[in-house]
Amino acid sequence: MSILGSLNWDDIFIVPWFKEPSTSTAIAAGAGGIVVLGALAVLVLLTVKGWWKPLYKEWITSLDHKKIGVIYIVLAAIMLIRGVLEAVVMRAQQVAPAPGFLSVEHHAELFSTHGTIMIFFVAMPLLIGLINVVMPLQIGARDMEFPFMNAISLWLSVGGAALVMASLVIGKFETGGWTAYPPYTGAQLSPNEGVDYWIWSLMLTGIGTTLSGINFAVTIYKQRAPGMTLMKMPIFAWTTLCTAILMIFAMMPLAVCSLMLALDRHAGFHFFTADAGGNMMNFANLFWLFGHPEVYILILPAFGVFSHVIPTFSGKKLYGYTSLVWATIAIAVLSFTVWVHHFFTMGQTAHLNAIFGIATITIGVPTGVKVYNWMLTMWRGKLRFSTAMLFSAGFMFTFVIGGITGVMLANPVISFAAHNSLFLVAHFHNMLIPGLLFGMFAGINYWFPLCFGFRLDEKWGVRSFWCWMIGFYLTFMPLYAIGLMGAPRRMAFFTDPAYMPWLIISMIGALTVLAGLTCQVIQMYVSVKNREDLMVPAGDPWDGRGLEWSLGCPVPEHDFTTIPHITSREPWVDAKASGLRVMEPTEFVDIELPKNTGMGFWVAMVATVGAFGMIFQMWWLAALCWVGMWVLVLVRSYNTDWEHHISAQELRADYERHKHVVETTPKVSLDDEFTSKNRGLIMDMEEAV
Amino acid sequence: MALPASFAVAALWLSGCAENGVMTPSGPIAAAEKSHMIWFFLWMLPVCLPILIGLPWICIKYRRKGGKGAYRPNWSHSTMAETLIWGGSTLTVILLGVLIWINTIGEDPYKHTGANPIKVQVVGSEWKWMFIYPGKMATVNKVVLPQHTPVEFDITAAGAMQSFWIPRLAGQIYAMPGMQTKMNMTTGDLAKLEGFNSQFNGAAFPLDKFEVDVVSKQDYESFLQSPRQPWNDLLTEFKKVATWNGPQIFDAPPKGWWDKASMDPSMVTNGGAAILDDHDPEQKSIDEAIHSELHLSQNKPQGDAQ
Repeated sequence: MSILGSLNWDDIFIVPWFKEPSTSTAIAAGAGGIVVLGALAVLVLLTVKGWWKPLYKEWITSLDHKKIGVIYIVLAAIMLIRGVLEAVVMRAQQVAPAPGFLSVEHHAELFSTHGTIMIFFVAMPLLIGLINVVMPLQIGARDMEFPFMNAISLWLSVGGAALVMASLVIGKFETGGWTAYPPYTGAQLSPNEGVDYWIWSLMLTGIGTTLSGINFAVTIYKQRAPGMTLMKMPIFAWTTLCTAILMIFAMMPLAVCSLMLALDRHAGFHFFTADAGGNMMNFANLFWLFGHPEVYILILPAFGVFSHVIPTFSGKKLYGYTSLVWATIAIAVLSFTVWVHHFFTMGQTAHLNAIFGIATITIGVPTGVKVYNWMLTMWRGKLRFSTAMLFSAGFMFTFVIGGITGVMLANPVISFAAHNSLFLVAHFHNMLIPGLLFGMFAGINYWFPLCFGFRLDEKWGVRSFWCWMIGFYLTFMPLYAIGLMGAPRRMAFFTDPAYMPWLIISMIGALTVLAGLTCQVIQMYVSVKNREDLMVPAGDPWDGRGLEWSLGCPVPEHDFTTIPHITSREPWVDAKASGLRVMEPTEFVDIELPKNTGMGFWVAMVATVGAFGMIFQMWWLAALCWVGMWVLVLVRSYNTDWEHHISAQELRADYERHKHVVETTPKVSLDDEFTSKNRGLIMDMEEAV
Repeated sequence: MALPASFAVAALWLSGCAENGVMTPSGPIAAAEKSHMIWFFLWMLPVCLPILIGLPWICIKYRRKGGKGAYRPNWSHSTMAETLIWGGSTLTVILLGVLIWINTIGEDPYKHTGANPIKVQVVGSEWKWMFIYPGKMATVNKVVLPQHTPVEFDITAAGAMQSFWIPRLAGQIYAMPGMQTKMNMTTGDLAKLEGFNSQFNGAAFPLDKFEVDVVSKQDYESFLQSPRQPWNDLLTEFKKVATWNGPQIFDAPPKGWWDKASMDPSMVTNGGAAILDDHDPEQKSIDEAIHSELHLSQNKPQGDAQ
């Protein structure tokens, strides 16, 4: 075996195009070119601007939970752009005259990377990033319980994403969809490195996510401010806790089944092949044992976001806190009891199918309760339609429609008639676009000032909402229709002319979604440009209800100058009601915060190179990196000088500074919430009178 | 906004719907599936319509600027509302749960849909389907069935996992190597239907389909007498080619062949890759097959064979 394993010239992105010029290979070469040029452009920009040092010193080496969260979200944003562009190319492929401009294989790579990216490298980093930024601030913690492990989680996820991007340039990605069922993904039917890209990029991010889950759960158990009992925790912290527990238990089966698949492919095992007693049904079982809880890992944090955005912009207390907590717990528990509904068509007995069907609709109860709770929170409120609130309302409306089709699909008999069809594709996009993306967009618009000190531009935010909302309906309602007309998913082209009008509407929808994404890029640009006008230094731009709004924007590295003592569910609301605009300090004490270290980054990068070695069968490289990774971990473990000290005096000075800012900031009424008059000190003047 | 639009879309769709889907059923099982779909949709409306109507209403009535609603900033609990919400959704789920139980047992694909069903054995491979009428004949990419008759398909696969589906007769079930699954159904009136694999399985996935002819009982009997090719030709060719465009009717295999094949996929396939490089000669032949298929389907007279 050569030193480069299975790597050869044909794996370089432009070579197939030279050998076999066609639209399909040209698009593949173009996509690889974009990645290469994009990477070059970033390198040049960093060099010209002299940003290498600040990037490394302040971001890559940072263990600050807020910065780690921001990097997660930046990663998700980059991958979201790729995922949406892929979706647009696939929609275009289907409206082009059959057989379209992509080969069947190229189309298959697109739907496989689209799914893998959207789930693992958009949805997961978004929610993990948001949790990182917000959860410690909500529970009165100064950082995660394990800040260094947090950095390792982050950079492992980045490494996984980098591998998926690398597959555009070197070699090919997997073609069996994001679920990668064997035996199709076995060595015989899929001999190229695509499946290995899938296995190892998921392995990296999967380990990262498991570590994140442990980190979140332990942080919530150990780091809550004194007096914050579990039933006084903000709902977002509750959904984080449930998500974290799901992460800890659900990522394991994925790691196990993908490792078993790797053994099948390269070590001659027969776990999932039909020879020598293997059985591919075990893969489906293990995969969905991960895959279904995963759906709730994705959705629960968004439920948490809505439980804060809706009360804030309704000017009203959250309706039914206890209900929401128990509904969250119920969803988390039930999520482990329904995985068979992903394969009702695998030939198990009718009784088994019926039981899993009933378990599935049972999840509808707590979920329905939540939507009603949010609606009752809005009822008799004073609603302000900020971008975050629009995304929340748009979510509620759209999610209910997805709920209807979800309950339909929970009936095994209906599933027989709709499985593997575009009806199913429309259903899960109908759950995840509102249930995950809208939630994350709402959360980012809402909590953005905590990280950077300024609000996001509302005009472009509202535009992005309408584009996403209308784009969603235009894209996926037609897919429901042609799904019932018998259109299977993952089809490279359709020959039935009756589908064409629907596919064209769907194409227009995809372009509208792309316009929504463009609005968000513009929103970010405009906000950064006008950041002086959007600054909210006093820290409470929305008349917020949680502790995170009591800290000033941007939140200092140490988060809390003093850790508050909690006596109610909404201590910040109580403080404001008693006329305070800064929380009363408790006790100033010296604190220790972790020093910056690049070790987390380097451990993960070595692991990523090792994974690349596994993908191209360069076993020597994989072994070397495996050892190197643990050596780095050991070196770090023997480092005793890893904390830096902040004295009580510094904290007191910081507190006084913040107090001064708040005292010198003019109060404004809610009428001026979205104007440059809003400096982060806002109140409902009518109420005040 | 979205609600009337959805209804308009639904109306448009129902009026123009004459395709290969479950909404135009040709047999009783597909008809039952369609009816369950509609009933489940309707049963969800009592819990969902209050949100779909109430939410826009709340958004208008309680908007801060210009809204006319009362303001109760501290109201956060109502036992009556809790009872209604939890109770209402629980009752709906109990009702739907009972329906799921009844439907699932009633339309169990393993249960015969009538006495003495016609037995057809199926082998799905990359990218073609073999049908065996045990002791009578074997066909490729074509299955002929008498009208208004129960049928039992015994299904297996060689190579990748596939999903056997004739939407206008019944739902789908996976076809898996080393496994046997069953799909029972009853045919309806005379019809030319299409069946296919709905589980992506590689380069010629769009061609992985078969004709289903539902004919009169006499035509079915005469079909079973039609001239045929030798079984060994079928087996040799079936192992070799990616897509099928040869003769479709053959002698039946020896007794018990299908059972053995279901346990040993190598009897049916030589086991090539399902994903090929663009310049691979086999990929070229698949591309040609796709193009000739498209050419054929464009020349095929349009119209529904109901």
